[in-house]
Amino acid sequence: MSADDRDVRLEELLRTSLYDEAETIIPAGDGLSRIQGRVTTRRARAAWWHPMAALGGVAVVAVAGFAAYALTRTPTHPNTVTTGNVNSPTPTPDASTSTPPAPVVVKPTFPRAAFYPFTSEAAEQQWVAQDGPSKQPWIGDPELLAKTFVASFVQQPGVTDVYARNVSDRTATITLGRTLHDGNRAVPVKVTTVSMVRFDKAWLVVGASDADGQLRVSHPKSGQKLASPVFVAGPGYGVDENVQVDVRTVSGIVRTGQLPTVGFGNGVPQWSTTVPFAAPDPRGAVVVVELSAADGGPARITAVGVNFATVQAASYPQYFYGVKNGRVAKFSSRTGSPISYLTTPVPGGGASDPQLVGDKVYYLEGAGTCVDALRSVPAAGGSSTTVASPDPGYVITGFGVLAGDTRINSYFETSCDPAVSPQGRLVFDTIVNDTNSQRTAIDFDNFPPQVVDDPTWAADGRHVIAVVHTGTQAEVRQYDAYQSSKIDDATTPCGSDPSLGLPTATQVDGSGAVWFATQTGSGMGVVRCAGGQAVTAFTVTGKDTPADLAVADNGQAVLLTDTSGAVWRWTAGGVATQVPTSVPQTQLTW
Amino acid sequence: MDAAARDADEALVAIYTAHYRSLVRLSALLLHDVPAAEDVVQDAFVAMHGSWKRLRDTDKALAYLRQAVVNRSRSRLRHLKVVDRKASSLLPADARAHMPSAETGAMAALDRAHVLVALRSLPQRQREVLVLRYYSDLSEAQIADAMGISAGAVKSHASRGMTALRQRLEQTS
Repeated sequence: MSADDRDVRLEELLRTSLYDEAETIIPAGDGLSRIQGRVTTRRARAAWWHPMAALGGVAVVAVAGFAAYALTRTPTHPNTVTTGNVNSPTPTPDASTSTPPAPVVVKPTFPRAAFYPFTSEAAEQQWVAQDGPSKQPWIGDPELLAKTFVASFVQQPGVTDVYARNVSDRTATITLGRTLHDGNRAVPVKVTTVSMVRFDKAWLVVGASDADGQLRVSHPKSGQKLASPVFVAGPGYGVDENVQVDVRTVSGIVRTGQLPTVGFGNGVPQWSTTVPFAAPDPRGAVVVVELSAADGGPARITAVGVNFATVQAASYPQYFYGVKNGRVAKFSSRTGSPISYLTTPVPGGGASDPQLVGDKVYYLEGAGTCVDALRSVPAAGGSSTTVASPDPGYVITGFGVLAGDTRINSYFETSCDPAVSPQGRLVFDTIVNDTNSQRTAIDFDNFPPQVVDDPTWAADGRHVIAVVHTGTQAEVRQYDAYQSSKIDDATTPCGSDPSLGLPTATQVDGSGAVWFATQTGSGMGVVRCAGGQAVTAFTVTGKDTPADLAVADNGQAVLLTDTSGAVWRWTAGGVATQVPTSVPQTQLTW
Repeated sequence: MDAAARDADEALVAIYTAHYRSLVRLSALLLHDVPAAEDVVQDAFVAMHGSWKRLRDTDKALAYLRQAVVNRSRSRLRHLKVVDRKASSLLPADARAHMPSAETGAMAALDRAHVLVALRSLPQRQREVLVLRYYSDLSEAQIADAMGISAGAVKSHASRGMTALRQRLEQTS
């Protein structure tokens, strides 16, 4: 390993160490109110200081003024105390004309991990003001709250047997279970231990764990701030286990897709899934339930309290994935700085064309002359695996993986020998009858026409969108992965408006809208196409040629690269700005 | 309340919403004490609010806050004497106990906890430069502004800091 490699590795290690450490630091939620309280105190002090200062003052009054200030300062900030200057004209407050600010009382902070039945101090206070403790006594009783939580929030009624009760002044854990019916047998089972903390007059749920400790969630962490979709994972156990993963708040289920059921066991080290959601509340929980194979009822329940990131129209993903030194690497979207490598160096080859799908980054890896493969690596780091290989004598030049089922992919392979026909193939690796893999292809006998950049899957999971160059023209075409067999056996979902420019790259966002980059007479453009309507989202002036585009799943942000490796970032409602990348990037993803 | 005061109040809320958490994290990485970091950042916000008539610009206010947070974190460390002087010469025994063997490759096997322990053992200015560069993603000019030193000094501290960091880590492998 060279000195330069060691420097880069140390920098990566330091950066990821600091980022990871920072992620664990969650400030208390009362920062703004504390600051505003101090500002108000300061303003009130100035209100009586200024008029009296105009009149002049005497030293003895300054002492009195300092005494008043000392009474009002926040006791948690001893370093902010300033010494009084007896020579300064600091008068005493005049009780007849102004009121010195009241001492700041620091109230208990609302628990940051609490998510049921209240998510804020204001909600709890409203409950108290409306005589809640009398009308809803279960909120003031940890055992009743635990049962209500499992029945109402987790939506698993019948888990009402109390196996353990541990209640102190501030915290409580209640272990609940039920009677499992297995044939003629009735077996008592512990299902979950609900953890609660007391705030004011209410008990608040901060989480729930499997009473046996088997069903655990390693990601997300309690109190973590999440944006949709959330990646949920935990250590595997048992044999042929199945869990359901959901995202819920006090408003109900906020998951936006199908309820994911994850199977694992038989030595699988980790289970994982990704759950999209749209949360109307600031807090909620990721709830994981294992159902009993014997009677279908709940066998284990785990709930992790989380915070939800506010979705802003002009936000963009924090990271993108590109290539550095022939390796897939993670970069800061804001600064373009590299953060960490995901893949290892490959002698005689290297990585290209990374694409983030779910929790994995797919990429092409060359390994010598006329040899490459489609591979994947976990975005969080780990071992890479081969997903697909081209026919002998061909290399993959572009690909797309279906987000809903990563067993399904499409790629365009190009012959290494220009004399060979077909010169290229658009391949569809699909699944039929839910289990059998099927490979079909459309031959491109001679170039042009040919597919450029990456084919991408339409939202229906059946069609593939690709940019086909036909010489001096190009268009965005849609092929049926299960039926199309010829080059022209396609539709043009976005029409063929030459005023939009010459398409060079395309991608579909989470809503199903088709985006494509174009070369125009005045530079580059990015077009959004939905419902048959194609509208230019933004342009970049100059003489550059688009190489690739990456569209955020919510369609609110786009990265555009040109063939020289420059990167532009655009967010909805804004203009494109160039990202100062440390290395040229022609193909990237976020 | 006059318009200037309202402007300051609105700016306070906007800047708090956008940057409070990252500033607390910056301070906490320097102080290794989250409650103290919250105090430091709240002090900085109160001072920023008081200086709003002079700042009147979000970018200037953010630069002011960064500078205030770095300075106040440094003062807090000095005042409370929480610098772990022992850490300047060696890593804690519990950290060493979990270090990988030399055979596994010193750099490759070092985990993040060890990096943070080693980082905390660096001289204060070097630590500040590395945190501002690798956590806050600031340019040399921005770091110089935040620390009140020259860009050349930033380069020097960064270079020495990385060298010292590597040496600390290699000593323990």
